[in-house]
Amino acid sequence: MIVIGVDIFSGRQNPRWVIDGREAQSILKMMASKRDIVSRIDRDYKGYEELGYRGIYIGLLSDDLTLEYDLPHHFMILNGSASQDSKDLEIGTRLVRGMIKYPLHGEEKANKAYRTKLSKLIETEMVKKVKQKAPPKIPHLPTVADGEDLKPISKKTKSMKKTSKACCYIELCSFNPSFWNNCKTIKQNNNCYNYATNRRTDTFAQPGRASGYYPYSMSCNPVKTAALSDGAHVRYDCFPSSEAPRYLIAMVVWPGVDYHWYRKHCEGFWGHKPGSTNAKNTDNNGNVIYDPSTCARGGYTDFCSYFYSCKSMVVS
Amino acid sequence: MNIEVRIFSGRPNPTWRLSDQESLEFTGMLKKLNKSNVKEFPRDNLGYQGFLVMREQHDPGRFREVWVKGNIVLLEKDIRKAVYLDDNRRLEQWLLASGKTRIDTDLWELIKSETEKGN
Repeated sequence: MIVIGVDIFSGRQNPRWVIDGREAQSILKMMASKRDIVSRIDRDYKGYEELGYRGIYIGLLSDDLTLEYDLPHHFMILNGSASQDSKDLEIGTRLVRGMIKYPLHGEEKANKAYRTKLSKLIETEMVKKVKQKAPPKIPHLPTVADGEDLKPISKKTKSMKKTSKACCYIELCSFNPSFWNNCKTIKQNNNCYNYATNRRTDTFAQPGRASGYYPYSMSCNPVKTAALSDGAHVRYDCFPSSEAPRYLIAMVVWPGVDYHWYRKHCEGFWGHKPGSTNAKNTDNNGNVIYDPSTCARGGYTDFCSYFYSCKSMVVS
Repeated sequence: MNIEVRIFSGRPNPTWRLSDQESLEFTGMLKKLNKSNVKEFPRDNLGYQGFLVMREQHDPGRFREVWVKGNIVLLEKDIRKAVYLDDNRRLEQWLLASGKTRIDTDLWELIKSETEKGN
């Protein structure tokens, strides 16, 4: 006996039904023969998290089944974290259509017409979600909200008013200085811009050079224009999830002389790489950087702006 | 020998090459320095970090790199490091002078002003 559920709703109860006998055996045999579709529900579980369709739940209701089919006692399929090819979608469609035949747990009075309508809704949402271009699943790269109160100017009255918070989603990666520091070639030939955008190019990358906006004078606006030319966005001008990883980066300037960049990490601090020197997370006073706008920066006195980098940004 | 002024983070650092004669002169000045127990200077901060002198070819038994900042000279030989004291900052001034005709004037003046800050 197995229980099938669809994780789709936010407020109302998700639909669940129990299957027994040959149908249950057939489903489990199918799962056992295509294990890459199985997504374990454990501490490291990662799947769709947005509103709407999030996956199909399968729970084994007797202990012999886990041994017979060598499957976990419960798992998800078509939830964004395991195989989701066309064959897997066929399996999902079969399961979802199966709900028409069985009473729904907690909604036993729901008739066949209702279950048919619900099944079609779920199938539509499932196919739409599974077939959409999935953002890259990058391990150890949590997506977080980056937001604050937004105060836009009304186009009609040109007045300032407080509205809902602006919020963009970004990715924060772990601090990994050894990547930049342990190899002489990487350390020597990659600078602050390489580090902030997390792109090793071995060219001592310059903002704007890859997109044709180079050289320029060393002040906030030209360097900002150069970075935007490469494809960066100013903070709160969001990138879609398809552009992940989207890093939060910051730029400062030594007026008339040079620029410098920082990148935020999931540990909560900012990392940077002053030119050919080591990547690190401390400022000129040796303090861990939690705010690049106020950290010790030597001659880089002008804090210019925060930006987002993105997957399609060009850096050279 | 190649000289690199470690000063920038984003822009490439200014570099130039010493002639054979200049290289000999530099090595001669190094030999006159006394070892010291002073602490090394940090070499990975923002801003001026000193002059880095690099031997073009690996020569076992002879120094590979020399960092000069203020009155402190850090010599790296194979895998060993030694710190020397240059009381009059002669080496730093000599290296600065060697670049005067080789790099942009404004840039040279900037480096000069950074050396004079005594950072």
